[in-house]
Amino acid sequence: MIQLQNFKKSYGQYTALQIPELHLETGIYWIKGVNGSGKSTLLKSMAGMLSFQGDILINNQTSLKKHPVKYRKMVNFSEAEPLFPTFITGLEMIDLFVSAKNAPATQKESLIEDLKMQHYIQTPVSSYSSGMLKKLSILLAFIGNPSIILLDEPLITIDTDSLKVLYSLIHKEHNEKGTTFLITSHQPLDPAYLPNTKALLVEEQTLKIS
Amino acid sequence: MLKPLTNILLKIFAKSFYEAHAPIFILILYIIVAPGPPESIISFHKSLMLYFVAKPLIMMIVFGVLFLYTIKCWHFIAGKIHQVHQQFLFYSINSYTKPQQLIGWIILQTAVSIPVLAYMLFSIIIAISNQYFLSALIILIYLAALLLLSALFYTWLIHKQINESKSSWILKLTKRFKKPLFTLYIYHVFDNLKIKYLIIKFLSYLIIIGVFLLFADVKTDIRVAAIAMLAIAASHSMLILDGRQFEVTFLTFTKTLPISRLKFFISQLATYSVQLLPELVWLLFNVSPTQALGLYIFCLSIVLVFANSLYLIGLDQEKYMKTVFFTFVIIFMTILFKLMCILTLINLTLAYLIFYFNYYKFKEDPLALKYDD
Repeated sequence: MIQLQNFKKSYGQYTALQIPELHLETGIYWIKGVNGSGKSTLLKSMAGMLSFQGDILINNQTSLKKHPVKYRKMVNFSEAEPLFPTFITGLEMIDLFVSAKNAPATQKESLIEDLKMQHYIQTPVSSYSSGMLKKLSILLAFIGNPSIILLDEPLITIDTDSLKVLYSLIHKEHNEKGTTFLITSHQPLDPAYLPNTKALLVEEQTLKIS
Repeated sequence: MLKPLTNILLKIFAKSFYEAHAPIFILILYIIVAPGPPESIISFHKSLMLYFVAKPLIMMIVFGVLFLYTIKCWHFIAGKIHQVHQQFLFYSINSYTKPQQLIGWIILQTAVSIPVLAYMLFSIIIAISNQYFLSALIILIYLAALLLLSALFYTWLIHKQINESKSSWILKLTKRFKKPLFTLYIYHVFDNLKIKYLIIKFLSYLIIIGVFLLFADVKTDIRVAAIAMLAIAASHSMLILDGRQFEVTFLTFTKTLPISRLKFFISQLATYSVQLLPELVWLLFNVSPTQALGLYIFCLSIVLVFANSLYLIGLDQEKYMKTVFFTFVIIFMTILFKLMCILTLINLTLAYLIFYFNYYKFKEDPLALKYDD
């Protein structure tokens, strides 16, 4: 499914993360690790936001480096602390992603409804709380038809009802479409909603299957 | 050692104030010291100072200039106070007593006013040495009043609740329009950088007029217009830097979108095409349509070289200003050989190549580093 080849991310002389070889099959992965271990670095690199040495492939075919557009159509990402232009509305952000990811027209309505964002989605993000911003970022990660969804700390900031909706969205997306999820979190993912989660541990500047 | 409040205010505001206005200060310094030998410059400024301490009307004009400078400081600091990274000020420095806050802000205003204060202090010395004691006292009181007024303004700002929901008229007017990627920086300019944009456009207009006046005897020579375009592109350098800052701060998500680099480049081209429309309008009214379009594309190509050099060197203002300067010199020399057409092609190709090979490489990503976990 997803393959990391000679992955190395450095900040100047400091090697933040090094993964010589890793294959992950379709599934839901909980990425854990202490603060500063490199969880976000890993997800941002996989999302194509951070430059790194080596390559990442999907299904042994689509390379992040060689097929940057195709790869990005297959991988969606939600940031831990998203920042969007303050004057833009939530709906305008969604429309941008719908158009870039070629998403079906009806998809956004059901997601907005599921996450109960109808009453503020047409207002500029400058008026959003951090929880509202986080929900917008999570919603954007479900836009289109991704093979992989990367969620950076999705369990924090959002309210308990939204958390249940998020769990059911992940469950549905994985069961119906076979989407792989990589989710960073300090808390374990609730087994009542996501029973077959596999854990990965980021420590000592590398990724280990735990 | 500085007190914590003074330390934090100086670090947040004074440092960035001088960084942002360094080119303007250098230009003014150049204008002040360039015209002749040191003795005659000193003598000129002594006479100037003596002139305005002796003539009340001239002193009023100087006070007006000082007030404008103070407003410029207010505008910069007020804008910075409301940035996301500074919002902690609203729940931290408010806990100091009012006099402590006022002293902190007075020190800051003094720090950002050093160039004008230094000039005015010399004029006070000149006034005293020439027995214009009342003028010296008035200048001193006026300077103190400006510093205190500024401190009161900043204290009021920091106690005022943030109103995040207010948006500019242009955003209200365009509420119903779709906002494609290329328009985002344009909206940001109209939302947050209106004054800067207007100043740049005014400067741009002065450049056009100035260059044509300077070369009045050869104003039909296309090279004159090309030099004006080069100067206009250079006058946009700070706006271009702001554009890259905006991208690094708010548009990092675009890196995850399945959009080709060519489309991103075209989007960037569209952004600056719109921002240079006032210059195009002026050109259309003053030269033939073909020439106007050619000069506009030439100017755009230089702007794109400046903009994309930032992908290569990162958000380093010093390196960027050097790049702008050297590019300016090289293009200026090339214009003298009437090579504008070839230069436009070279600029566009160079800009795209820099963009293509550096877009996914991060020279900096402060937010990514900041939020890294």
